[in-house]
Amino acid sequence: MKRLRLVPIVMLLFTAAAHAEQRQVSVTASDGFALQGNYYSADKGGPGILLLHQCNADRRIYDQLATMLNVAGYNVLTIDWRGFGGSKTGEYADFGAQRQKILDRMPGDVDAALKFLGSQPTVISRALGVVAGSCGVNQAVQASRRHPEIRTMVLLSGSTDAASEAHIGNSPTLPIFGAASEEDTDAAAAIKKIVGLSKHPDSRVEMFKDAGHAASMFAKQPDLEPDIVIWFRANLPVAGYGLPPAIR
Amino acid sequence: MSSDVRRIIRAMLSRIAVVVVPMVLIVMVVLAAAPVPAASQDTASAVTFHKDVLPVLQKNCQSCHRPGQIGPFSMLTYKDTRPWAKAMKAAVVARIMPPWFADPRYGHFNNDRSLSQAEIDTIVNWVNNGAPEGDPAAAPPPIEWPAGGWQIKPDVTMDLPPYPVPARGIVEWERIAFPAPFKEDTWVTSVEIMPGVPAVVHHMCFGFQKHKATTPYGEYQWMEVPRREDGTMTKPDGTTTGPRDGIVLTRVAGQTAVTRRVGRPTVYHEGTNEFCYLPGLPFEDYRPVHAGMMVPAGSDMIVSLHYTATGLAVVDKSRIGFTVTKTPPAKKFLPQDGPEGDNAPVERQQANASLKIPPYADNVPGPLAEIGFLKDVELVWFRPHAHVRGKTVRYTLSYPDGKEETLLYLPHYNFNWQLTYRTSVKIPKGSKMRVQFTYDNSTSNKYNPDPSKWVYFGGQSWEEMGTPNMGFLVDRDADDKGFLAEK
Repeated sequence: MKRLRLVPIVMLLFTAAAHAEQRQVSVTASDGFALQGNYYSADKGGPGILLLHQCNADRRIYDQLATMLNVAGYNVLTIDWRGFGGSKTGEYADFGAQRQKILDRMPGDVDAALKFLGSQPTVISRALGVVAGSCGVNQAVQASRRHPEIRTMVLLSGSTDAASEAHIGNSPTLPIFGAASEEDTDAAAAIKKIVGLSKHPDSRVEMFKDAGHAASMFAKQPDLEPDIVIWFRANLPVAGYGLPPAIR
Repeated sequence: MSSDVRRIIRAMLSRIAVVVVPMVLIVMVVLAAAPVPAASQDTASAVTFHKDVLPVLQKNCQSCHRPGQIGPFSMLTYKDTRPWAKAMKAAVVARIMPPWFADPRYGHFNNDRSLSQAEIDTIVNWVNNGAPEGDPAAAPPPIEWPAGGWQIKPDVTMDLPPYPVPARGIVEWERIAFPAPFKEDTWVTSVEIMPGVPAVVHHMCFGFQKHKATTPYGEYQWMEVPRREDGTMTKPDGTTTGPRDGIVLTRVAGQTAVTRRVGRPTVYHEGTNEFCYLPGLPFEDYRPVHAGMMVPAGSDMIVSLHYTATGLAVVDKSRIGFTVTKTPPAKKFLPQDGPEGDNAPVERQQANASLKIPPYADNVPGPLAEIGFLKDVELVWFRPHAHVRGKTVRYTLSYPDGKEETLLYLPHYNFNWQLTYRTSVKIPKGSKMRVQFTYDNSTSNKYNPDPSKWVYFGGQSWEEMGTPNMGFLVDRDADDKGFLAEK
């Protein structure tokens, strides 16, 4: 199939932006650090989706995807990891210098972000999803171990540890959509492995060629963002009909 | 915002340089070298959005894919639609969209929304050729969709009282009565319930009946259902949704105080529900079959509500809309829905009571429903209803001469899309309809909240039922009593 062109995508962004309510937010981590983010509130009650960026970009790489998800009925939160974007400040001004410290803080920062997201007035707190790229993949999968309210994940070009892989294999109700680019060898192999471990019948992996790394693939694969939106609509219903009873 | 725009434009220019230019070169080489059949190439390349695709979208897709409706993106214009082209192709090729679940081997349905192969080919060819816009002058006129989010253009509307749905806990079925919004005998020709917060509405149904002095207006009533912490009933007996002796709870609309008494509810609809909102089913329109429902002046409207807590406390403000006519239609519409309570055939209640689905079982037949026809009648729609473990449903008609015919088979029942399947089948007196549901309580059912549980009949979505709703037409002046017998 010929590749689709991207010409109308900016128009879509403008159109969609007219429907979205977006605001800059500050998510307070357990140590008091203020993670900077954007929150896109849905008109009506609906699930929440957290977008975790890769460690060679910042939250702006998800601007368009966040808007598309929001227009499709989701509450969306993007955050900057410490050392990136708006969270590049104080002792976390240099990711390279503070790499291990920042990585160590990431699980707690994800917990803070999920808590923030789940506390928003239009978010169904037991119906959450995560999109994660590269270094965010491990954080997303680990978060799903701690947070059963994460009902589906989209993982882009990243890997996780053995315990989290075992968690994937033992979570037959957790559908996963993975994507990577073939020449991104290690990331591609890791994504294939993660999705391969999933027992959920709808889990699937999409491999591209020469598409780049994590969310950077959006630039060369313009269909990937719409595919992610469609994935969530199929696996994280905005109407909540497929959700477990609220009493659980 | 401006820096974002610049970034996007830079990215687009980069894409043009990196992707499009080499692609054009590659395509030119391929076109020069590959022996593409001329006819198919011409046909495919001629497909454009305005001329070929938009008519398909208008007919089959835009009712949901427009602002304010359930579709995740709009298909009203080229710029709205274009980014989703690949996803559209995948969905139509897999026949996931438009949603339609009837096995095409059985029955004929005049509201079949599934695309013809020619329509699928149109979308596929359009996408495969780069999804070109074409000449806007070739587009059909835009459809004038009703304002305010309605699917119908209601002549009469009413607002239900704001309902505070809690974040957690169990909300049992409740009923509330209002005077019907008509001052004189009125033929209703279409109905729509527009839920305020669809995420929390499991169903909303209503029926009309003559006012009784004992029926209070504006008061929610429901029966207490003893349950364990996990939501399962302590004593499943197949009677959770109907009126019976027990603990009746009441709350006046707009207030929070709940009173409790022993007895029977005084708000109850004695007949069958005239209309229900269910996920995927926003409205019913009787006009295409020249029919309507007569609502006598002075009728009450008994609304049955079932909300589901989702973890988010919300206030639902649902609305109901009607179209009406002063000219009596030729036919009268008769709904037949699931039995509830003392006025329902006892046999069906007993059948529901025997519904038991073992843990992890992936194909469990429910109790067989049998409906006998006591007079000639025209069947005009099916609307099968089960909950999230529903797997398949089959309607089989046995004619008096012994012939059997499957009229509807859903091989993949979907709780999220409880569609009405409109047909026209003349059913002779003496026929019998058998309706068989099956259930999937296994881990492979992605909507299954807990495969480790035994599942019994009940009104909550984690319980189950199998309700073979059907609709019939009779002559306007026909006596509508005694058409059906159920077992």
